[in-house]
Amino acid sequence: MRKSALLSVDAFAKTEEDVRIRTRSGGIITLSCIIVTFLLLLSEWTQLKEIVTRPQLVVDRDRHLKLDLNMDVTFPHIPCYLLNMDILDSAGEIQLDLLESGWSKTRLDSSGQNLGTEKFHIGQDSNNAGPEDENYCGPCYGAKDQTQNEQKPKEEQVCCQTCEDVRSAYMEAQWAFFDGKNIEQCEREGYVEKVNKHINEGCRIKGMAKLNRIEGNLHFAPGKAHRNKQGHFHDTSLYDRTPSLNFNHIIHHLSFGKEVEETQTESVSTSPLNGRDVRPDYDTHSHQFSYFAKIVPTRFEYLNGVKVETTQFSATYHERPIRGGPDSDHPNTLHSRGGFPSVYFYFEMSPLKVINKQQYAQSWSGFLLNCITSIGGVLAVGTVVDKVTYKAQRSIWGKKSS
Amino acid sequence: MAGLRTFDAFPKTDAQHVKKSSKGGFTSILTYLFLAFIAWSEFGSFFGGYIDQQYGVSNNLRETAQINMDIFVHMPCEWLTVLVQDRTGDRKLVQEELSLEDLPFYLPPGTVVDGRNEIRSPGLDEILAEAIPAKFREKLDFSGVADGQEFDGCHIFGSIPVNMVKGSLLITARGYSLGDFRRTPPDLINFSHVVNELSFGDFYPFIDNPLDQLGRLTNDPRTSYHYQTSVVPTTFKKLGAKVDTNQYSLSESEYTVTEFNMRIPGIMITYNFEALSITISDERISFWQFIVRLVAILSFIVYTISWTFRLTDKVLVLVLGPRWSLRYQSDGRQNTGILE
Repeated sequence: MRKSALLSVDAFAKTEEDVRIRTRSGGIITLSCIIVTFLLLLSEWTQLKEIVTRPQLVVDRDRHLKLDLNMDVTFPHIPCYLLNMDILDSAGEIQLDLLESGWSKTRLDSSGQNLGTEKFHIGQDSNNAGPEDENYCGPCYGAKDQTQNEQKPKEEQVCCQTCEDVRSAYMEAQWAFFDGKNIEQCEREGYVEKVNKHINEGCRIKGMAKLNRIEGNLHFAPGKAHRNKQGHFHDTSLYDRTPSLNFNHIIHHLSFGKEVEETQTESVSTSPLNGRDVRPDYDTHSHQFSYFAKIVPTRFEYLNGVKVETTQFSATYHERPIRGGPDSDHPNTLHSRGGFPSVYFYFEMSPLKVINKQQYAQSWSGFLLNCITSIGGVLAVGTVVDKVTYKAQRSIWGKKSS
Repeated sequence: MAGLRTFDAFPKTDAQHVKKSSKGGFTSILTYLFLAFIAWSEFGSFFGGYIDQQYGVSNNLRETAQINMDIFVHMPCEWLTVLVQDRTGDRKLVQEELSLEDLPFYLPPGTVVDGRNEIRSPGLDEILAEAIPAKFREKLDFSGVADGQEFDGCHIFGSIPVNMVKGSLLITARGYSLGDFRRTPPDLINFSHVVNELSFGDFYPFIDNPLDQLGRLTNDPRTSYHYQTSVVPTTFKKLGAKVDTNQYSLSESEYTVTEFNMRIPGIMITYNFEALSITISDERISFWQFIVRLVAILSFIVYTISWTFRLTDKVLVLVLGPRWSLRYQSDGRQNTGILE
């Protein structure tokens, strides 16, 4: 009686073996069910391996952090000694002559061959010691006030002993220096000869800098920079005189943070300007090239737990002739006038930060559940198909075929 | 042949051993109805998919973006100047690229005057349905139908490429911008206007934008309008269809030109392009996954219902006696289980 009570709650009521009928078609269906189940399980397995990126937008709170600028650019038609890079930002922070501090400058000849990374020292190998005369006091050619020198002792006299002294004196007075021709000190040091000999070289610069996370710009310009009330200027005298020079450039690398590799599921824009080659076939001697970069801080969180804080940016390109006015391809545009031949990178930060988190599309429990569902589903379909075939066979051929 | 037969995992019971119940038949019909409902909702979630959003940064180098505009201004065209100035320092006389038609000023039906458009974000399906690309028509000359009468409005429309940097588009009266020596008589200045279309990127006239169908009326020649927009590139994707468009946020202000505030009368539209772009796509599980899931859910329901049926039957038999059994006709025979 006890056994019978237990039996009565058996949900999986079974038919006794002797009333069961096995058919050939049933066997075939069973085999195909097994194959299909196997395939489905396989596809579930591959889906378990699938990686998706779940994005998240947050407000960037790390504004006090600095941005890492990594740069590698070639200028085929401007010699290293003429090239200058400055960074100015809206907080008023100025980083002038960055190329002199820690950046590598590689001199290239006109065909692009490497001429070595050593700095082009101005007046180093010639008789740099200056004239033998102990009491020599070089003229500054009016760039400095030397009229009072007669009355002063030797230590306090205003003198321009070397070419470099004259150059900086000119710079302070905001005078055009050109190549130092007819300046006694420069002629003696061989500066003039050297400058003119190397004027057809190119330059590849490489290095990194820290930027504030605010709006600003970075620019390459010919000649030393100076500032006055009117703004930021460069001594472009030598550049202007030499029409073969221009700011055509090849960007090998430019990024504002660490590099991450691109995956198939997402496109990463950490360095969209890489490989950009601007060497137009028209004369660009007095052209200004600009890139407007909008920087979006991004964090990539990988499956292996690695988190990479970097930035992505989008860029807009613009060029204009310095003289302003319309150019051939923009007949209705009046470009602004002024400025100096240069390459500008304007940068701007986005207040939003993207967190791209990689995840498996499926968890293990989900995978197990899906496996069970697959098996169950296939078996359910199998049962139906089998019943239909069985009934069809019976009605067509009668009971004999079973 | 007998070998294959042993593989048969679906044992069939000969028809004579299967018992059927009339009440069970009714339950089956209910079951099938329920199955159909579940299948329908599963199909719905399959064909409807789910919405996936991704935020990215475009890695294409950009130069220009397109502005599509269609604006009526309550001033004759000959006194209007349209120009674009942007961060690159460029100043562009877009007037040359736009069409300016003299027309009597009127409010097109459906214009919201001095109000605001309802702010809402369009759904994916809506955008895809409305994304029909178009071009502005050619300029028509209405002077023939004028009968010598002067038209008091100007219809400015067209698509113009601008540098893809922060900038502003200014519709002003002649003589108020640089390089123009004819100065508009002050009594002719009236910047009442209707914006029929203002969008960025490819021109899809049917997609609603925050400024579309907005009218502003004034009688004061010194009233000026300033719209500030921030443009976010948005890509909508569904079932292989892809629409690249731009959404923008809008803030507007109105000011009066006085001798002191150095402003110029006109309509100014400031735009800025955001770096982040949004991709809204319709994702779905693969079809085979869907079929398997559907079948599994259906068979699960069949099992659950048959169990519930048996359980109810059991409870009824236990509590109220065998006469209440759902499963068998009450032919007087005692039935406690199939196996007995």
